[in-house]
Amino acid sequence: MELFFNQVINGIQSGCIYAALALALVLIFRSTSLLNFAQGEMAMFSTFIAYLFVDWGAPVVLAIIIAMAISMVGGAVIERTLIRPVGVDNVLAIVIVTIGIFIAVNALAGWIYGTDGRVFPRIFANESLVTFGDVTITQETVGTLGILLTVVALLYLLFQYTKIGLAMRAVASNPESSRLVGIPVGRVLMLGWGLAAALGGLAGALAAPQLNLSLNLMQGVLIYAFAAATLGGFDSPLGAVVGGLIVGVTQNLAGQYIEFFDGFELGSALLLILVVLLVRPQGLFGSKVVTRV
Amino acid sequence: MIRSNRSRALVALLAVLALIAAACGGGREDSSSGEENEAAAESTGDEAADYLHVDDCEGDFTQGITDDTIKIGSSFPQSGTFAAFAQISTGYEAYFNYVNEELGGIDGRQIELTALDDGYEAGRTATNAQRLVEEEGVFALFNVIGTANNLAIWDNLEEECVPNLFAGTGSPLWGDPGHAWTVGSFPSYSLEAVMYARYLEENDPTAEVALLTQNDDFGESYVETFTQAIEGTDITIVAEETYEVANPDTTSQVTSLAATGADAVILGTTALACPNALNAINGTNWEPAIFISGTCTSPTLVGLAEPGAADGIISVTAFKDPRDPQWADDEAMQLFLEKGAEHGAADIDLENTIVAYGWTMGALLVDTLTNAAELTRPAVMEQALNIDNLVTGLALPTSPFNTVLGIDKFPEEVLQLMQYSDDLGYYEFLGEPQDFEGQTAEVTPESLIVP
Amino acid sequence: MSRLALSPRRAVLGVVAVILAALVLYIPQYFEEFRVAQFSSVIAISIAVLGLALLTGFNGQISVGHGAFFGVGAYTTAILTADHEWGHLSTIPVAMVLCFLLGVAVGLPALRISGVYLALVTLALATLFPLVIQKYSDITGGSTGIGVPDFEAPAWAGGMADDQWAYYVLLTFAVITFVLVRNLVRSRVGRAIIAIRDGETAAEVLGVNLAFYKVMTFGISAMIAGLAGSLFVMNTAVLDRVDPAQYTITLSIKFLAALVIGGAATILGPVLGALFIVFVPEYSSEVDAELSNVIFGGVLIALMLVLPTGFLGGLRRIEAGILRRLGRDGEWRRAAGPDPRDGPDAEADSPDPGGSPTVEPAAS
Repeated sequence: MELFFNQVINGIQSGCIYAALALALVLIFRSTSLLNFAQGEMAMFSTFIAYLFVDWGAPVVLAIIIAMAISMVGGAVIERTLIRPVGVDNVLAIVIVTIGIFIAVNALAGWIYGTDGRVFPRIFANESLVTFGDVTITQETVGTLGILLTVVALLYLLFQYTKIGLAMRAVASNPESSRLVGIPVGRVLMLGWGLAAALGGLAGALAAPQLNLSLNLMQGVLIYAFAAATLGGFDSPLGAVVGGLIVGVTQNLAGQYIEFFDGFELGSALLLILVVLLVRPQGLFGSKVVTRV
Repeated sequence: MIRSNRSRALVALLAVLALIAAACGGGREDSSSGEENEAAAESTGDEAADYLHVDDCEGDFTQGITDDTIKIGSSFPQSGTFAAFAQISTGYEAYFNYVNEELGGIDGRQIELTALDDGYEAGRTATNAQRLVEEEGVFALFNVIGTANNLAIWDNLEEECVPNLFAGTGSPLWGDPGHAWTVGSFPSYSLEAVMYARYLEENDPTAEVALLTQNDDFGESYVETFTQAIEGTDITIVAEETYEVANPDTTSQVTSLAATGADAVILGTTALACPNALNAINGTNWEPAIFISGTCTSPTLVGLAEPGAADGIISVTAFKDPRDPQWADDEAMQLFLEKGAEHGAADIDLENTIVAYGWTMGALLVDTLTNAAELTRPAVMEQALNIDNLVTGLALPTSPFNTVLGIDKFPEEVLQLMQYSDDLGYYEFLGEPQDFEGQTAEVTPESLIVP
Repeated sequence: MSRLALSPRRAVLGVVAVILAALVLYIPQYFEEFRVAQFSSVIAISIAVLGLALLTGFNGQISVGHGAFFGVGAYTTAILTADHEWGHLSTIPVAMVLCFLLGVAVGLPALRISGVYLALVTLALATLFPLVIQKYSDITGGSTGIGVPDFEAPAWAGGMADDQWAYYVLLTFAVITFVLVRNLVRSRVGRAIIAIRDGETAAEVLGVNLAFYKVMTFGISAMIAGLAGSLFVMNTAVLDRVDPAQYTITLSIKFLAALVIGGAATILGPVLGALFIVFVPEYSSEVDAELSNVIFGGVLIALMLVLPTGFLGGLRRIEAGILRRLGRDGEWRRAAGPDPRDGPDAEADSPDPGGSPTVEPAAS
């Protein structure tokens, strides 16, 4: 029984990492209806930036905030220079561009920072907060979850109660009409990408203590993050977090208790994606899309 | 319009092909050097000539050797996920520079190394190897990294009678006499597993053991060999878990293993899974004896573990660790530190054990080339297959390189058990070195030897 | 001008085609073994990308998973020739049928998914493929892989070297496949397939059976990729092993990149794309190994910015631009006038417009 709970807690822990990256994916999708395959690598790059500041003596929280700010600018620049010229309509070309960014950013990080792994300091201590017999819930797990839920709440406030949020929703829904109404579509798109990049940086910083910072930091995470976003609904931040937790827990429990998935956990994530897309394509919390004829 | 598009395509294709033809150059030749080969073959001993099937060889036995150069080729990842392996080459490049500049090369010939990037992809390794032989005209291949990568090239090299020297992997496959022209370098992973089994037999004969291994042939070597090695003992395996190379987060697997409360755990892990597993174990209440793969021991890996997580882990080595104070006054170590800094790349990491391994490989190659009867491919191979208790580079004095033609194709079969101490910051030797001379094939399960 | 009359343009086209054919046939005589093998792999990859073009370029269903079908074809041939002593060429029908069935199996649920979601599912499948290979290692050889028996030139081939033989065999299959696909695309079936890409609802209203065509296209596309994989493995002169690390998601991504680089909805674009993804990494590695992937990624991005419709689309734009300035009477004009051939939309009766497909991200 304790094993079960420990695996659930492991699941929550990795689920938080998936959720964090999924948040970034959801944000881009919500503002531009695009999937950014390069989100993980951008997140990794920004975590390296945070690492640089830590190396120079900054406390870890400050380093992360600075890195997030830098990433925000970076994300906006990428949108402006690489994504917008291609045109949002040309889905295939966008997919290629994001893949190109994936490859280039990964290699660039390798060239700048080298290929060795690094230790990334934790925000919360890896010490037990609550213990029930052999089952431990660490400060880190609770703290990470807390951060994620706060982000979700802030995003909710942003989208529902601010002008900017309204503008973002308008642009995502109908860029042409938004332009006609006077919304600076370009700047809104840049903001969307910038925010997503910042969130990606946060995701990396949350993942790095456990996974060790390296070029491959996000590569194992990306597909699970996609699964999380699919499950939760690609336009729902809350869905991203809930989806992430479910994916994480499912992955661990499936690997533990189902023979087929032992050593084959990715299969459980794939199954989840397939089932969701076939049964309820908008995910748990997403909004149903209606196509106009 | 349809025609226009097609015509555009045709013109474009024409242009591209012309570009490639100009850039790559042709060069298709028949290799006909029968006479030279005969003369060269005569200087090789009969037994060696037989083993190396010299009579069937098509290629040129002295390709890559001129009056002032010896051309050597290698292929390993210099980009992508596995680019960390490129650090091995910094070791032997430094050694070659040292030999070239201070010792006048080998018999007056400078060593010229051409190293191509394969991104760890076996397909590219195959193309690189052929290109090195056909276009660059190298004498031999050296320290190609990766089991799948060497498997992708060893058939062709065998047919063309090109030496594939000191492959950079610890797979037991390289003992295959059917591929006489390929020789390994790294001590076989299976030997490690046997050593751990024997250590447990001595120190905890009824131990319950958990296994955490990588989900491929590397991890399999540990599982299968250990299982075979404990047959007939009271040691039992109580749990086995694997992890994907692409996803080295082992927290879940460790939780599963910790629930068994096993006395010992064997970590058949590599790269970042090493510190990750150590941290995961450290985070539980489980306190097993930890045996970790020799590939994990460098400071760039184990060094990433949390304080205390690596304390007491047991591993093996055949080489001197630059951080170990017992070698502070050692001649070979001083040579490495001094010449490595002088002749190595600006950012060479002289504390990294894989750089020390690379240095040793360089020394091994130079010794092989120097001690060969003459600089022809069969003669050099004969030397590589007849290394006689050679301690070179940073090999431990108790771990000489040794091969015997037709009997033992594994150069390194003596391993030293060692235990890490967090306080000291290096590994202390445990007990006497284990000598597996000539026994790798015996102790390794058959399923691992046949590719 | 009647169709049979010889215009200067057609004459030039004919000469170019002949020169090109001669060059292509001469390659194995001119280059060393490893280069010839490299060209053979370009041929195999271009067939795979052609299959992808049918599905993604002409039918609008994005697949980031064709590396998996390619891998199935490759492993089928490898297993049958290595463990069951089949002849190499006789494994091709098996690989093709198997991949066709797999393609249909993926195409059926894909009816309910489209756009980026389909890309995501195919991405997940392609990521899973090497893991499945490792899981069933008894049949597939696991991570060590399988050694493929040499594909040797037969006695009647007049002393041809093995690499040359493989090249000509692959070339033959390629030519046949390209011709067949081109004919398919120009037929009524092809028009239905393209109509689905350009507007599903409209196509349905016009009587096109969506489900049938979409699933069929998936199946055929997968079948072609399987053929390509099977042929790829027969190129044993340089590489004679299959192992799961050769068939990862990276391969699928490279196929998609090759498709878009060449020109997504063109027949000969896949060949250009295949040349690109085989030769550019080699050259970028020589420029600077550590930065080679930065260069590759950068080139991909740059190409999409400059030539979002691929090389063939780009050439078209250059040509259109030149023609605009020339004007009807042949005089060079300073200012550019509008040109009906410019722009992203196809002409009404052309099956390969050189433009990129527009795909809605909404779930269907």
